Amino acid sequence: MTLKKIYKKWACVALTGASMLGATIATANAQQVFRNTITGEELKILEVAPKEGRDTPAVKSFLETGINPYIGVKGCLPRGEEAYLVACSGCHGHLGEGKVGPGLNDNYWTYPKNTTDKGLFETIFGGAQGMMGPHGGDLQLDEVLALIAWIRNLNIGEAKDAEWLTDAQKASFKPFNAKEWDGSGKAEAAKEQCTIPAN
Amino acid sequence: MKQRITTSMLASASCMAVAAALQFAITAPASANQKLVELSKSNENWIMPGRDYSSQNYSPMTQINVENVKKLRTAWSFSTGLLHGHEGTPLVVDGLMYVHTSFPNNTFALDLNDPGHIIWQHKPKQDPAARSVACCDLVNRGLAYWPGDGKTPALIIKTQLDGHLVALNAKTGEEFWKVENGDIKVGQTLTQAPYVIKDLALVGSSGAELGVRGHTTAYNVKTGEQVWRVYATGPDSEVGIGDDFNKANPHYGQKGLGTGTWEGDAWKIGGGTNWGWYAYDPETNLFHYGSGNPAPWNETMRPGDNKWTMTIWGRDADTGQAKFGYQKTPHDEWDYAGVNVMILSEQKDKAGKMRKLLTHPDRNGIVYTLDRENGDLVSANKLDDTVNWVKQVDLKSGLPVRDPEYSTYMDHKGKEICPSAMGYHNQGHDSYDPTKELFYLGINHICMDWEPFMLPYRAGQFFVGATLWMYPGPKGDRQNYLGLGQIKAYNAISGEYKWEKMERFSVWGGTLATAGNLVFYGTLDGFIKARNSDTGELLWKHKLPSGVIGHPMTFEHKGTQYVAIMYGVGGWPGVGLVFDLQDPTAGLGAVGAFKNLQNYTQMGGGVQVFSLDGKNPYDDVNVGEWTGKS
Ligand code: HEC
Repeated sequence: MTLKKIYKKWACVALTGASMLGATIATANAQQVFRNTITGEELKILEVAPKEGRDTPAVKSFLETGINPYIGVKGCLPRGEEAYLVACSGCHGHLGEGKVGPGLNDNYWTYPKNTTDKGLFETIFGGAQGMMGPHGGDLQLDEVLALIAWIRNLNIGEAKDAEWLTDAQKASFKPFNAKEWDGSGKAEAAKEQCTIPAN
Repeated sequence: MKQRITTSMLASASCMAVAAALQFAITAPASANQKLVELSKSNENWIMPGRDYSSQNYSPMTQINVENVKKLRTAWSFSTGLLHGHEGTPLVVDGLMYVHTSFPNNTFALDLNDPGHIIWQHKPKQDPAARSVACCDLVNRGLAYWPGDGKTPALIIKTQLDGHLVALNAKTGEEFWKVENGDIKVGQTLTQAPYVIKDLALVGSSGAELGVRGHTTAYNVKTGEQVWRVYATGPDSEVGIGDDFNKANPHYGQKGLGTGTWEGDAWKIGGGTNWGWYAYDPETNLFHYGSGNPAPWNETMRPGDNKWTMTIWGRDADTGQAKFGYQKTPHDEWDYAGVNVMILSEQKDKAGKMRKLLTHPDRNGIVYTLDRENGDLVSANKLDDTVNWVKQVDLKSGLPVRDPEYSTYMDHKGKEICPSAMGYHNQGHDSYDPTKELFYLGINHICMDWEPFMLPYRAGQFFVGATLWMYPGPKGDRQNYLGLGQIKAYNAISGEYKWEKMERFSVWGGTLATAGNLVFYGTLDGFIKARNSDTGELLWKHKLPSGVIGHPMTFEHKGTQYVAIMYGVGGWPGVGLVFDLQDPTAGLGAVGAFKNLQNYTQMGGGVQVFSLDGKNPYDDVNVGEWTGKS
């Protein structure tokens, strides 16, 4: 993409009513380029994503680093679950076990990049093949981060293959247990905040 | 988005109209409908998916016949450049072939004199979010043709997955009008081939898996303005039910049932979309189609008969008003969506009385034949003796006699239910040979386990509520997931099958019968086959680039008979093909029955055309050559 085009695009974003803040975020995180999982084309995140939920600290941090600060944050799980049930479970199953879409709760990925936060975000935002349409326009960015945290939480694979976990997270990893979640886990999580952990 | 008919379109349309008027002045017909009927009689045309209004898919041509079919070879082929399911069949009119595709629903016009040249192409830009509300892969079932009337040019009418109905100038491919028939935000999509009757373009709707309330709508073919719309559920006024509805068969049900057979407002999200094939009888002025499954699939969430889902309709073409409606599967428990093909025939019944009939191989495993003038049930037989949810259909009451062992309900996993939700017959467009009085039926041989679960309705989200496991029926090989299909010749009066053969996979796309004593069909693993239509003997087959889920057609061009078929595997049986084989979840659910398909075929769409010895326009090597600047 030529510089001129990029310039045009930002100008366009600003003109079409995205807040100036939106435009600044965009330029500030120019180092992270997000790409469509199939075509490799650059995703126009700020042109497509809903206006709300764009400028949370977590979104800003994610767009800059490609690391999802909500991973492992309990307080984000109920939100992530809600988004998942609304937008994904019909095709991927209640627990991510797979239906007309592949399972999301194991460690096998058609697209290896989905082991990273950034890759999974790109697949959700821009879609993949067939019925895996893009969800960038219908989910708020902050919601997508909570959703990714929920998908990781659904995992029942082996911790050692869970590339998205840090060593510390691997050590404390427990495979998802639906009974426990419905029993007490969800109520407990709902009491906590969905924010970036202090440290 | 609102209905969109922009002034610029209308402006360019009227320019076009002038040009067309000049062209048509010579042959201006009495009415567009008569012209369509006339066109359909010519072997050089195939102007609707079922060839003519009877939807018989039967050609009187004999150049290709049982004696010489072995000599069929590829004449030419065309790649659509797209993956995913290519259902239906191309149209041929006036020396052009019109080819449709899977999403994003491109349309191509090819010159039969030089098929290497694309005369025009229409590539709509659709919201890709439509893909996430498609029920089962990104299929499309084809096009409709309206012949023009001297003022308005001939049109190709098409559907887009994103819920739009579009009319294109048949000669240039330019958009003539475009209307929004449904909103993808609430899950309303379109996959059907539209249907032209007189000066109306009819279209159904898709999305029962997302709780969409089904409707059928007629648009003025010249302007795109809505003329009438009728629903499958709801108040009589909206369903199109008047005083004489089901007069001949009051026991089918009459008034107030589109709301009365539902709990509360459940009919508003009750499904009953129709995305299958239509048929029309110009003499009765009735058109026929089937409304689909109620939503959600979980029956516990919708007590009652759920009328008028799962219904065979006879409706007046001018008003949409229903003359009769026969519900085949009251209170469906298995997703036996009733949208399949309606084939019209004139035959003597058992008492020797000549009758106007309609035959419909239903998803529920029963092939129904009705008197299409009044809806009387003439016969209802099993598509295979392994159908088990129903013991028989009581012809007097019209009701299926169920076997409770195969019912589905909450907190119960139903096992070994035959047919599966895919039906023993799905959307395939079958054929009827009137000289033999035989229907050629492509069959699925698949059974299932079914476990319901509760879920809330959310607009634009899947609203199914059942987990399914599918596998070959009792006559197949359950170890290896093969033996999933059949092909059969059926007599609707005697109820007998003249012959039947097993297939490795479903015969998903339907059949073509010809006076050459042949029946043609495609297979999911990518063969086109020809059998002797008297005996079922396999006479010829050819391996196509990809599996088939559409039906073959045939046409004559410059004295040569061609057989054409679309390939491009996908659709419900092909949803698993986007999976990668290593994925441990790739065998789950709906995908399970066809997990072996990946070892036989891969995606990729196109049309392949055959003739005896492969005779084709390029036999003259100078055809299509670039001869330098002119
Ligand atoms: C309409 C059905 C449908 C919906 C809704 C849907 N998906 Fe998918 N999804 C699919 C299909 C089909 C595939 C396989 C596509 C492919 O392989 O390219 C897929 C693939 C994926 C993949 C790639 C998996 C891998 O193994 O690499 C991810 C991740 C994913 N979906 C996440 C989601 C999320 C998160 C949502 C909700 C926001 C969602 N999907 C909604 C059908 C759907």
